Amino acid sequence: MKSKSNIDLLKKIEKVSAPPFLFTRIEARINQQPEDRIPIKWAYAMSLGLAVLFCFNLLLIRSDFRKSKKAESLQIVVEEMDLHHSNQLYYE
Amino acid sequence: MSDFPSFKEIYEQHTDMVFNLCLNYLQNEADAEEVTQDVFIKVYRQLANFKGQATLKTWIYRISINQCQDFLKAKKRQKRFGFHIPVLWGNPAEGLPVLSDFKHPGVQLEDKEAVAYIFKNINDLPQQQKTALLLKVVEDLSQKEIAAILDISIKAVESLLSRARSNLQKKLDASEG
Repeated sequence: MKSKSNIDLLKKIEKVSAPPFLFTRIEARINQQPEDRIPIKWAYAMSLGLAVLFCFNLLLIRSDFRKSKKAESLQIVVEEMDLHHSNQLYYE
Repeated sequence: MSDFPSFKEIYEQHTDMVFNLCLNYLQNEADAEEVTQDVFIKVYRQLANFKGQATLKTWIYRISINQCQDFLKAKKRQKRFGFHIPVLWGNPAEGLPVLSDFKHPGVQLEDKEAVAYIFKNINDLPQQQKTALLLKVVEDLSQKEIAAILDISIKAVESLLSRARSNLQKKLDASEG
């Protein structure tokens, strides 16, 4: 079994030629997929745009929440002090 | 840069080198052909970025080794997540190409079984050791060339080769009982 594991057997491996028409196949693949990668500048610009949009959304949601909270507390004051927006002096 | 070879010239000068390296790394003719194509597509796309810090041959060797390693990783992933019964049952030879996968036209028929057996154990070595051993023993490169390809010192290559040889011998002795 010792002869089976002789590493020097690897030195007997012969060099072979690449298959024919390989260059044609490579050329075809190069032409098939001209530019499947997005340029790095575009990727940065897109991620920056998305980040800005996300921040803008957050700000909108926050300001909306504040507004509704403010309106709610104003309503409580109006109700508790029995204030009315109407200019009518007499209620019917 | 005007006397820099064209893509076709680069292909003609290096195609056999790349194909033989892929063949020795993957030990399958069809896989080697596929990876050779990938290597030259990468060379074509990155030729503009080649700064000439290494020689063209070293640069192409590096691309070839990386492509072979990526291919093997993808194959391993495919096996792991596919319905591959030996993986489910914990086959100790997981990830190694089985004998039926071995298709190397450079190996003579009478040596086929023995060489497949050695390659099976080489595939089990750590990646860096496997690469260094194949470049030295099969590709017959000098330690200086291997150091340039792997981007390490000559001392590190010496140590890698010595560890690779001793690990391989241990594996072969162990599997021979």
